[in-house]
Amino acid sequence: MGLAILFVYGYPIIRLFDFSMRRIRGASGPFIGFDNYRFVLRNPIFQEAVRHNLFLLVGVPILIIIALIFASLLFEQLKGWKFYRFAFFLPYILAVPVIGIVFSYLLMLHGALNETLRFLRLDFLALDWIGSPNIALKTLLAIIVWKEMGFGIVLFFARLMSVSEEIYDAAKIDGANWWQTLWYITIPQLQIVIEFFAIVTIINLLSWIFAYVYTITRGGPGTSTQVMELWIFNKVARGAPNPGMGAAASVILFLGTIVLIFTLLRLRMRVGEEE
Amino acid sequence: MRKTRMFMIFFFALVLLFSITIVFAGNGEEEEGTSESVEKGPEPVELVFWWWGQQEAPGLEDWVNETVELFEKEYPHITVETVLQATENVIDDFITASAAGTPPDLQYFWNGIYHQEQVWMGYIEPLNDWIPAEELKHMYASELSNFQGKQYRAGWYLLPMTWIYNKKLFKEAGVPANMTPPKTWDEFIKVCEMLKKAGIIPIGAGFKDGWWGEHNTGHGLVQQEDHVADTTKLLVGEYKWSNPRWHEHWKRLEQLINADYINDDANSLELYPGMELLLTGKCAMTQSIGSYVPEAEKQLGVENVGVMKYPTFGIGKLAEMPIMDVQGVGISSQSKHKKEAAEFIRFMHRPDRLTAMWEMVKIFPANDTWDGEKYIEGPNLRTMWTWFQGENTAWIPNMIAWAFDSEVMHVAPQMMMTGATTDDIVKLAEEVIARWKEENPDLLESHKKWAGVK
Repeated sequence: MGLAILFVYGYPIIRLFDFSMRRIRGASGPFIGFDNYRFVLRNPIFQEAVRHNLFLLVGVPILIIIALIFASLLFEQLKGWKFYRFAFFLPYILAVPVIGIVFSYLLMLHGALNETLRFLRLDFLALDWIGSPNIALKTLLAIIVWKEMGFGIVLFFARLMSVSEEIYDAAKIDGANWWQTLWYITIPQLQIVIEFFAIVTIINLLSWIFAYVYTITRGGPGTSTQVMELWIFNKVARGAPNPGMGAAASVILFLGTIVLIFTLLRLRMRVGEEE
Repeated sequence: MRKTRMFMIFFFALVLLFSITIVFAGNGEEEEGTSESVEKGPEPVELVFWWWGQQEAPGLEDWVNETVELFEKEYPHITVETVLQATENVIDDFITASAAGTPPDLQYFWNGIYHQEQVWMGYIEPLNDWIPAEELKHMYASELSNFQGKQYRAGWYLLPMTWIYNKKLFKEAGVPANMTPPKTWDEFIKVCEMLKKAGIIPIGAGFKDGWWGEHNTGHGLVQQEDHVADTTKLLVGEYKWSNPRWHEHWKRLEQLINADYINDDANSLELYPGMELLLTGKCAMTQSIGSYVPEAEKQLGVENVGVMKYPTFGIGKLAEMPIMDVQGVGISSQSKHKKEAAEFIRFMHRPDRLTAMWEMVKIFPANDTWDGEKYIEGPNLRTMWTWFQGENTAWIPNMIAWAFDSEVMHVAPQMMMTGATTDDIVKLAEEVIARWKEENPDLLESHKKWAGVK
């Protein structure tokens, strides 16, 4: 059993490390040590891609805050809350390429959004959302937040449904307002789920956003929305002759993500011990 | 818990069994077709043919199926299994399969570097030993299919690389007949200005996916060249991009962008939506490919559509030549049935099959013995056919390494659209070339050999 698991998960990773140290031509190539890593790390486009991935991590607190607020509002079970729950979750179940293509049409300079804004005489808001290097990455982030928040909302909401109502009743009796309830009851109750959601989102924003970038901006204009995954794709696919560099970048991304998550977990454990 | 463990063991055993079955089934197939069976002839032979092209030449699949059917009738001991590939897989699948020792016998290949790198890996068989020289020389595959005196592809169908313009919009803007279409750069700028003043977008483009930038380099850089090998000399560093001769095409593009002759939303459109601006009458000119012309004629009316070359500004010997790209087919070096595969290529080039290709798909067959004059109708198609019959040049982006393609040519127009200058692009080009050379010393040598650079 252990061997089987080792083979299924371990073998591809070992091969990836092996690839990363070769000048791959076809299925293999000469061993060149850490040259591919040197080439990757000094590559200005890869460096830019890393910066963009790190910028996108801004999405983690944004997603958590939005999901928290909406989950709490749903928990109040206001009129029509089931419809809102469905509406929030809907984007999450749509395929990313579908969302990417739809948004790339909506957000063109002369796309539906800008034409609507112009019709409303809000021309100053009709920006080149995906065609301007100053805005394109932020546009991508907004689309990612729109799509991914549904998962956070449903996750938080499901956890809230299992919290004892007595705690909330007690808070009401004590005269806690909505924000106080959120801060002193809801968030502590959701702590584990928030941590889980944060980790999943970090992994997503580092290594699961290829489909967004590929379908919406293709990394452009110029290199303004280049991310690590797209850079790797350009090195390993489409007949690119140097998959070794793509493999080296994949190893860097893999190890970087592990280090980041491990650090977060360690931090969490330390906080837990102090508490 | 125990049940779960049992299930997991069963699941992995199943996966293992499945993998072993596939591996052994693969080996069995390889042993069937030994070279001995080729000699005997009547032994059954199964050819596998991976191809692409339906995407850019709708109807080609019917032609392939019919060709296979007729071939199998004529050679009853041979069957041909065809597999239509997705665009993203055309190159990678063949490389992966070759590396694994299970390539198809016949493979569709794009031109130039898109198959030369596989030639350098030893995956493609030269055709010279399998197809008589007298026939092979007419199966036009362009000089980009040759390496060290051997030809690795036979041409299949031609792709004239053209510009298309809307005659009706030219008239509306008052463009005089002697500038319809513009032939020199000065005329081109005058026409663009007239169109702009008339409220018409002169050039329709889509930069987002990068291909427009590659097309523009293909149309522009070649005008400065005396021979297509100059492209490789730029790639390997023998010529410098900083030399004004070699970045003049970017200067011209910068001029077009800065004068607002290109649609302002080019950065949020891809190549084909950019071209479609012409079909919907929103722009007057666009760079395109020959197979797109019939669609433009259908949408705008034959009388309103014209084809033209990119107006001349260059000083190279190739400056005024039309550009002709060609898609092709080759044989895997690991094929056990090279003789039969070559026979199939020869069959594809039989006069009746060439005529059928034109009649069924309306694309130009890549064979200069085919009497196109007899069949091709319409002024635009006939013009492009004369480009093929006369002196023409190859599509030089097909000579450029992918790193330069994706990191420079694709992004140059996008960057210019948002304020970058030719100097910025030249600096980027020099940096990318320097990195590419250090990272790929073996490819550098192969490129030099390909272009005959010492």
